[in-house]
Amino acid sequence: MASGFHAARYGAVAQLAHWLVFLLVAALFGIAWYMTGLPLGPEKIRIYNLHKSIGALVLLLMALRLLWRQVSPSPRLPEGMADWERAAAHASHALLYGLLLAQPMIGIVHSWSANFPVVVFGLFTLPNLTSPSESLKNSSGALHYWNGWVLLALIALHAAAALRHHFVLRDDVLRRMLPGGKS
Amino acid sequence: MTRLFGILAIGVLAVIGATLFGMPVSAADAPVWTVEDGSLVGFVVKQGGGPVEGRFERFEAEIAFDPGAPESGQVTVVIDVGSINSENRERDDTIRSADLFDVATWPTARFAAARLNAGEGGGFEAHGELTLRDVTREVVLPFTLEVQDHPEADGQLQARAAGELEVLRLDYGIGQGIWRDTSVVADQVVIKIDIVARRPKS
Repeated sequence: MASGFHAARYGAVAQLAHWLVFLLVAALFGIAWYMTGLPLGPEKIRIYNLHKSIGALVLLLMALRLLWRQVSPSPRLPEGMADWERAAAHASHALLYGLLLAQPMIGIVHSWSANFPVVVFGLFTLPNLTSPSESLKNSSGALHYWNGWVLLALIALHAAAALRHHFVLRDDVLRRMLPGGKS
Repeated sequence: MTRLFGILAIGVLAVIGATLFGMPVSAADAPVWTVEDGSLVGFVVKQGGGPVEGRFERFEAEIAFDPGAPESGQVTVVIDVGSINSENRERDDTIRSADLFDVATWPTARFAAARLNAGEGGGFEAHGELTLRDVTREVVLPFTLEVQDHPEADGQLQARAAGELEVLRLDYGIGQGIWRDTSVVADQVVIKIDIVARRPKS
């Protein structure tokens, strides 16, 4: 929020959420790679349920991060960045948020349309809000797949940009998302 | 002449009386019902803790039943297992496969109840044999029954029988190989029936 106080660094909550989502998303990609080739059996269903559970957790965390940004605005971009760089930074962050929110939702719709329950860590089952549908199952599955690749490319761009800020531009953009620095 | 009629009348009354009181009544005497569309033979099973429902699209039922004399009833249901529909083609194919129902070897499942009686709370019980794959076991299916005038057909009655029966799939060998594992797909399976049937008023 423009009117809010912009700290020089990300706070502990924002950092924790960022790196937690990083670890969870890394786990999701790893699990996704492994699970799709499995033959339909108890093991496959178990691994899929783990993927769905972690995905639901990412959705929750991303929604909380979005709220948290309103409470605790992100640090401003460093002075001296070109207009295109600022535009690219804002756009890629917005897109990251959008895709990280959309990807779990698409996955959940895919499960619902395939008539497989979404059970979150064995604790509770999300109510199925769509009717079983072969065509929705196929389209949401394809979207989940391609969205995954776009997300992976965007994460790579995000990491490359952070490293460029740190090693090439030598500013504090990466450091302010790392614990231990001075605020 | 009058005397002849008298003897005849007594004879007729005796037959009616014997039928109504005391004489064993055969199953064939219970009225026969015809199953209507919208009837369900299905199941619910927990998969990773979440419920999965399915139904068998094709089955045939022979039902002779009189709620006033349940003991005279007889029910046989033959299910085309291959007609399973859990709204997921890959899962349905897996359920039909050798490790589960093995439809290629045992295409039908069967429930035959020769003993019916009144149960708790105004309901009924069907005691019979359930055959899945090549395993036959004694089960009791409790069910409720509502009978009313048929809403669409004059001169007909419509009955709705609904019940649930929990079985253990492994008792019937439904779960060979990797599917013997019950930690993901539970051993407990609830069979659900919701049968709508009609018969002419007599």
